[in-house]
Amino acid sequence: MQKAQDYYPECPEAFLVSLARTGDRKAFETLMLRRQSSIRNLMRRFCGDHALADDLAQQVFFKVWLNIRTLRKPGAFSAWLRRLAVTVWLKHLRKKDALRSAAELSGMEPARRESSASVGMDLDRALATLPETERLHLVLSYNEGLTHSEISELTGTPLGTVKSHIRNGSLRLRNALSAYCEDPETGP
Amino acid sequence: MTNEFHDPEIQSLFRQAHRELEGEALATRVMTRIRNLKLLVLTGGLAAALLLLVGAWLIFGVALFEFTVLISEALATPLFDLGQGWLALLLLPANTVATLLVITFKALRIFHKTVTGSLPGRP
Repeated sequence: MQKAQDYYPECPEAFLVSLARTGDRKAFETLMLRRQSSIRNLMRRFCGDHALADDLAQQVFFKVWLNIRTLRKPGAFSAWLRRLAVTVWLKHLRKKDALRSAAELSGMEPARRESSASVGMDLDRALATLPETERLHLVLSYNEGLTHSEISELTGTPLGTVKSHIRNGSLRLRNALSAYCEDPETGP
Repeated sequence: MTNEFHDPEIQSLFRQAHRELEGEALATRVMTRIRNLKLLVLTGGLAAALLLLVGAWLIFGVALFEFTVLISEALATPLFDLGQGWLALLLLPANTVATLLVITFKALRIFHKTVTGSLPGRP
Protein backbone atom coordinates (compact mmCIF):
# COMPACT_ATOMS: atom_id res chain seq x y z
CA MET A 1 0.00 0.00 0.00
CA GLN A 2 1.32 3.43 -0.96
CA LYS A 3 1.68 6.22 1.58
CA ALA A 4 0.19 9.66 0.97
CA GLN A 5 3.75 11.01 0.96
CA ASP A 6 4.55 8.97 -2.15
CA TYR A 7 2.24 11.28 -4.10
CA TYR A 8 3.95 14.47 -2.95
CA PRO A 9 6.14 14.82 -6.07
CA GLU A 10 2.96 15.06 -8.17
CA CYS A 11 1.19 17.53 -5.86
CA PRO A 12 0.72 21.21 -6.74
CA GLU A 13 3.19 23.55 -5.08
CA ALA A 14 0.57 25.49 -3.08
CA PHE A 15 -0.62 22.23 -1.55
CA LEU A 16 2.93 21.26 -0.55
CA VAL A 17 3.44 24.72 0.95
CA SER A 18 0.26 24.29 3.02
CA LEU A 19 1.50 20.91 4.26
CA ALA A 20 4.97 22.26 5.03
CA ARG A 21 3.34 25.04 7.06
CA THR A 22 1.83 22.40 9.32
CA GLY A 23 5.30 20.96 9.92
CA ASP A 24 5.26 18.18 7.31
CA ARG A 25 8.97 17.65 6.67
CA LYS A 26 8.47 15.36 3.68
CA ALA A 27 6.36 18.02 1.95
CA PHE A 28 9.04 20.58 2.68
CA GLU A 29 11.74 18.29 1.30
CA THR A 30 9.74 17.78 -1.90
CA LEU A 31 9.27 21.53 -2.18
CA MET A 32 12.98 22.08 -1.68
CA LEU A 33 13.89 19.50 -4.34
CA ARG A 34 11.65 21.33 -6.78
CA ARG A 35 13.05 24.77 -6.07
CA GLN A 36 16.69 24.15 -5.22
CA SER A 37 17.93 24.37 -8.80
CA SER A 38 16.52 27.83 -9.44
CA ILE A 39 17.74 29.16 -6.10
CA ARG A 40 21.23 27.72 -6.59
CA ASN A 41 21.40 29.16 -10.11
CA LEU A 42 20.30 32.53 -8.75
CA MET A 43 22.96 32.38 -6.04
CA ARG A 44 25.59 31.34 -8.57
CA ARG A 45 24.80 34.41 -10.64
CA PHE A 46 24.97 36.57 -7.51
CA CYS A 47 28.29 35.34 -6.18
CA GLY A 48 29.96 33.41 -8.99
CA ASP A 49 31.22 30.76 -6.59
CA HIS A 50 29.42 27.41 -6.80
CA ALA A 51 30.35 26.21 -3.31
CA LEU A 52 29.35 29.50 -1.73
CA ALA A 53 26.17 29.57 -3.79
CA ASP A 54 25.20 26.11 -2.52
CA ASP A 55 25.96 27.17 1.05
CA LEU A 56 23.77 30.25 0.66
CA ALA A 57 21.01 28.21 -0.97
CA GLN A 58 21.17 25.89 2.03
CA GLN A 59 20.74 28.91 4.31
CA VAL A 60 17.79 30.08 2.23
CA PHE A 61 15.96 26.76 2.59
CA PHE A 62 16.75 26.59 6.29
CA LYS A 63 15.18 30.04 6.66
CA VAL A 64 12.22 28.86 4.61
CA TRP A 65 11.64 26.02 7.09
CA LEU A 66 11.93 28.38 10.06
CA ASN A 67 9.60 31.01 8.62
CA ILE A 68 7.15 29.12 6.42
CA ARG A 69 4.41 29.43 9.05
CA THR A 70 4.47 33.19 8.54
CA LEU A 71 3.60 32.80 4.85
CA ARG A 72 -0.14 33.40 4.69
CA LYS A 73 -0.78 32.78 1.00
CA PRO A 74 0.70 29.48 -0.24
CA GLY A 75 0.34 30.78 -3.82
CA ALA A 76 2.83 33.54 -3.06
CA PHE A 77 5.57 31.05 -2.19
CA SER A 78 7.66 31.71 -5.28
CA ALA A 79 7.95 35.46 -4.72
CA TRP A 80 8.47 34.92 -0.99
CA LEU A 81 11.28 32.44 -1.65
CA ARG A 82 12.98 34.87 -4.02
CA ARG A 83 12.70 37.62 -1.42
CA LEU A 84 14.32 35.36 1.16
CA ALA A 85 17.11 34.49 -1.26
CA VAL A 86 17.81 38.18 -1.91
CA THR A 87 17.74 38.88 1.83
CA VAL A 88 20.24 36.07 2.49
CA TRP A 89 22.50 37.39 -0.26
CA LEU A 90 22.35 40.98 1.01
CA LYS A 91 23.04 39.79 4.56
CA HIS A 92 25.99 37.81 3.27
CA LEU A 93 27.31 40.90 1.50
CA ARG A 94 27.25 42.85 4.73
CA LYS A 95 29.70 40.46 6.32
CA LYS A 96 33.36 41.44 6.08
CA ASP A 97 34.45 38.06 4.74
CA ALA A 98 31.95 38.23 1.96
CA LEU A 99 33.11 41.67 0.95
CA ARG A 100 36.66 40.37 0.84
CA SER A 101 35.76 37.39 -1.34
CA ALA A 102 33.71 39.64 -3.62
CA ALA A 103 36.73 41.88 -4.01
CA GLU A 104 38.81 38.86 -4.90
CA LEU A 105 36.26 37.85 -7.51
CA SER A 106 36.13 41.39 -8.87
CA GLY A 107 39.82 41.18 -9.58
CA MET A 108 39.36 38.24 -11.89
CA GLU A 109 39.74 38.66 -15.62
CA PRO A 110 36.61 38.05 -17.67
CA ALA A 111 37.06 34.71 -19.39
CA ARG A 112 37.09 34.14 -23.06
CA ARG A 113 34.67 31.77 -24.64
CA GLU A 114 35.81 28.15 -24.62
CA SER A 115 32.73 25.98 -24.99
CA SER A 116 28.98 26.29 -24.56
CA ALA A 117 29.27 24.47 -21.21
CA SER A 118 31.35 27.30 -19.81
CA VAL A 119 28.75 29.99 -20.53
CA GLY A 120 27.67 29.90 -16.89
CA MET A 121 31.22 30.27 -15.62
CA ASP A 122 32.02 33.08 -18.03
CA LEU A 123 28.80 34.84 -17.21
CA ASP A 124 29.55 34.54 -13.50
CA ARG A 125 33.04 35.94 -14.00
CA ALA A 126 31.71 38.81 -16.04
CA LEU A 127 29.05 39.49 -13.42
CA ALA A 128 31.73 39.48 -10.73
CA THR A 129 33.39 42.46 -12.39
CA LEU A 130 30.26 44.56 -11.81
CA PRO A 131 29.57 46.47 -8.59
CA GLU A 132 27.45 44.45 -6.15
CA THR A 133 24.22 46.40 -6.39
CA GLU A 134 24.45 46.60 -10.17
CA ARG A 135 25.01 42.84 -10.31
CA LEU A 136 22.05 42.21 -7.99
CA HIS A 137 19.70 44.30 -10.13
CA LEU A 138 20.96 42.79 -13.35
CA VAL A 139 20.55 39.21 -12.11
CA LEU A 140 17.06 39.90 -10.80
CA SER A 141 16.14 41.39 -14.15
CA TYR A 142 17.65 38.79 -16.50
CA ASN A 143 17.71 35.68 -14.37
CA GLU A 144 14.42 36.12 -12.53
CA GLY A 145 12.58 38.14 -15.17
CA LEU A 146 11.49 40.81 -12.69
CA THR A 147 10.38 44.23 -13.89
CA HIS A 148 12.34 47.29 -12.82
CA SER A 149 9.64 48.35 -10.37
CA GLU A 150 9.54 44.85 -8.86
CA ILE A 151 13.32 44.98 -8.39
CA SER A 152 13.02 48.44 -6.88
CA GLU A 153 10.43 47.18 -4.40
CA LEU A 154 12.35 43.99 -3.60
CA THR A 155 15.71 45.62 -2.97
CA GLY A 156 14.49 48.97 -1.64
CA THR A 157 16.45 50.87 -4.30
CA PRO A 158 14.93 53.90 -6.09
CA LEU A 159 13.45 53.00 -9.48
CA GLY A 160 15.71 55.43 -11.34
CA THR A 161 18.80 53.81 -9.81
CA VAL A 162 17.56 50.35 -10.79
CA LYS A 163 16.99 51.49 -14.35
CA SER A 164 20.43 53.05 -14.67
CA HIS A 165 22.08 50.04 -13.03
CA ILE A 166 20.45 47.68 -15.48
CA ARG A 167 21.28 49.84 -18.48
CA ASN A 168 24.91 50.40 -17.46
CA GLY A 169 25.35 46.86 -16.22
CA SER A 170 23.97 45.41 -19.43
CA LEU A 171 26.42 47.47 -21.46
CA ARG A 172 29.35 46.44 -19.28
CA LEU A 173 28.29 42.82 -19.36
CA ARG A 174 27.91 42.97 -23.10
CA ASN A 175 31.42 44.37 -23.30
CA ALA A 176 32.84 41.67 -21.04
CA LEU A 177 31.03 38.93 -22.92
CA SER A 178 31.62 40.36 -26.37
CA ALA A 179 32.79 36.96 -27.62
CA TYR A 180 29.33 35.54 -26.96
CA CYS A 181 27.27 38.54 -27.94
CA GLU A 182 28.89 38.97 -31.33
CA ASP A 183 28.58 35.29 -32.19
CA PRO A 184 25.44 34.63 -34.25
CA GLU A 185 25.22 31.04 -32.94
CA THR A 186 24.67 32.07 -29.34
CA GLY A 187 22.74 35.20 -30.12
CA PRO A 188 18.94 35.27 -29.91
CA MET B 1 6.86 47.67 -18.85
CA THR B 2 7.41 48.84 -22.37
CA ASN B 3 10.29 51.30 -21.83
CA GLU B 4 12.47 48.96 -19.76
CA PHE B 5 15.98 48.38 -21.00
CA HIS B 6 16.40 44.73 -21.88
CA ASP B 7 19.21 43.20 -23.91
CA PRO B 8 17.97 40.05 -25.67
CA GLU B 9 21.52 38.70 -26.13
CA ILE B 10 22.31 38.93 -22.44
CA GLN B 11 18.92 37.40 -21.70
CA SER B 12 19.88 34.52 -23.97
CA LEU B 13 23.20 34.07 -22.12
CA PHE B 14 21.41 33.91 -18.79
CA ARG B 15 19.07 31.29 -20.23
CA GLN B 16 22.02 29.23 -21.47
CA ALA B 17 23.81 29.53 -18.15
CA HIS B 18 20.83 28.09 -16.27
CA ARG B 19 21.49 24.45 -15.44
CA GLU B 20 19.18 21.93 -13.81
CA LEU B 21 21.10 20.80 -10.73
CA GLU B 22 20.76 17.61 -8.71
CA GLY B 23 19.41 18.54 -5.32
CA GLU B 24 19.61 15.36 -3.25
CA ALA B 25 22.82 16.32 -1.44
CA LEU B 26 21.60 19.83 -0.66
CA ALA B 27 18.23 18.52 0.55
CA THR B 28 19.96 16.00 2.81
CA ARG B 29 22.17 18.72 4.30
CA VAL B 30 19.21 21.01 4.97
CA MET B 31 17.11 18.21 6.47
CA THR B 32 20.03 17.19 8.72
CA ARG B 33 20.35 20.79 9.87
CA ILE B 34 16.63 20.90 10.62
CA ARG B 35 16.85 17.64 12.60
CA ASN B 36 19.85 18.96 14.53
CA LEU B 37 17.97 22.14 15.34
CA LYS B 38 15.01 20.14 16.65
CA LEU B 39 17.36 18.06 18.78
CA LEU B 40 19.08 21.19 20.05
CA VAL B 41 15.75 22.79 20.97
CA LEU B 42 14.64 19.61 22.76
CA THR B 43 17.91 19.26 24.65
CA GLY B 44 17.90 22.94 25.52
CA GLY B 45 14.32 22.74 26.76
CA LEU B 46 15.10 19.72 28.92
CA ALA B 47 18.22 21.34 30.33
CA ALA B 48 16.30 24.54 31.10
CA ALA B 49 13.50 22.58 32.80
CA LEU B 50 16.03 20.65 34.88
CA LEU B 51 17.83 23.84 35.83
CA LEU B 52 14.53 25.44 36.82
CA LEU B 53 13.64 22.43 38.94
CA VAL B 54 17.01 22.42 40.72
CA GLY B 55 16.80 26.17 41.21
CA ALA B 56 13.29 25.92 42.64
CA TRP B 57 14.41 23.14 44.97
CA LEU B 58 17.37 25.20 46.17
CA ILE B 59 15.15 28.20 46.83
CA PHE B 60 11.97 26.57 48.17
CA GLY B 61 13.10 23.00 48.94
CA VAL B 62 14.09 23.45 52.59
CA ALA B 63 11.06 25.61 53.39
CA LEU B 64 8.75 23.07 51.73
CA PHE B 65 10.34 20.21 53.66
CA GLU B 66 10.02 22.06 56.97
CA PHE B 67 6.40 22.91 56.23
CA THR B 68 5.65 19.22 55.48
CA VAL B 69 7.27 18.14 58.77
CA LEU B 70 5.28 20.78 60.66
CA ILE B 71 1.98 19.63 59.16
CA SER B 72 2.81 15.96 59.88
CA GLU B 73 3.63 16.78 63.49
CA ALA B 74 0.45 18.85 63.88
CA LEU B 75 -1.71 16.08 62.48
CA ALA B 76 -0.10 13.47 64.74
CA THR B 77 -0.70 15.50 67.92
CA PRO B 78 -2.73 13.39 70.47
CA LEU B 79 -6.19 14.75 71.27
CA PHE B 80 -6.28 13.41 74.88
CA ASP B 81 -3.37 12.70 77.19
CA LEU B 82 -3.71 8.97 77.94
CA GLY B 83 -0.27 8.58 79.52
CA GLN B 84 2.23 5.84 78.56
CA GLY B 85 0.16 2.71 79.26
CA TRP B 86 -1.20 -0.02 76.95
CA LEU B 87 -4.48 1.92 76.47
CA ALA B 88 -2.56 4.89 75.08
CA LEU B 89 -0.74 2.60 72.62
CA LEU B 90 -3.99 0.90 71.58
CA LEU B 91 -5.82 4.16 70.94
CA LEU B 92 -2.82 5.93 69.39
CA PRO B 93 -4.08 5.70 65.76
CA ALA B 94 -7.49 7.12 66.72
CA ASN B 95 -6.29 9.69 69.24
CA THR B 96 -4.87 12.28 66.81
CA VAL B 97 -5.87 15.55 65.16
CA ALA B 98 -5.81 13.77 61.78
CA THR B 99 -8.41 11.26 62.99
CA LEU B 100 -10.59 14.11 64.19
CA LEU B 101 -10.32 15.79 60.78
CA VAL B 102 -11.20 12.57 58.95
CA ILE B 103 -14.18 11.91 61.21
CA THR B 104 -15.39 15.52 60.76
CA PHE B 105 -15.06 15.24 56.99
CA LYS B 106 -16.94 11.94 56.87
CA ALA B 107 -19.69 13.32 59.13
CA LEU B 108 -20.11 16.36 56.92
CA ARG B 109 -20.44 14.15 53.86
CA ILE B 110 -23.05 11.99 55.51
CA PHE B 111 -24.93 15.08 56.67
CA HIS B 112 -24.81 16.55 53.18
CA LYS B 113 -26.09 13.27 51.71
CA THR B 114 -28.94 13.17 54.20
CA VAL B 115 -29.99 16.75 53.44
CA THR B 116 -29.55 16.86 49.66
CA GLY B 117 -29.76 13.18 48.72
CA SER B 118 -26.38 13.13 46.98
CA LEU B 119 -22.73 13.27 47.92
CA PRO B 120 -20.88 16.58 47.33
CA GLY B 121 -19.00 16.63 44.03
CA ARG B 122 -21.17 13.88 42.50
CA PRO B 123 -24.20 14.36 40.25
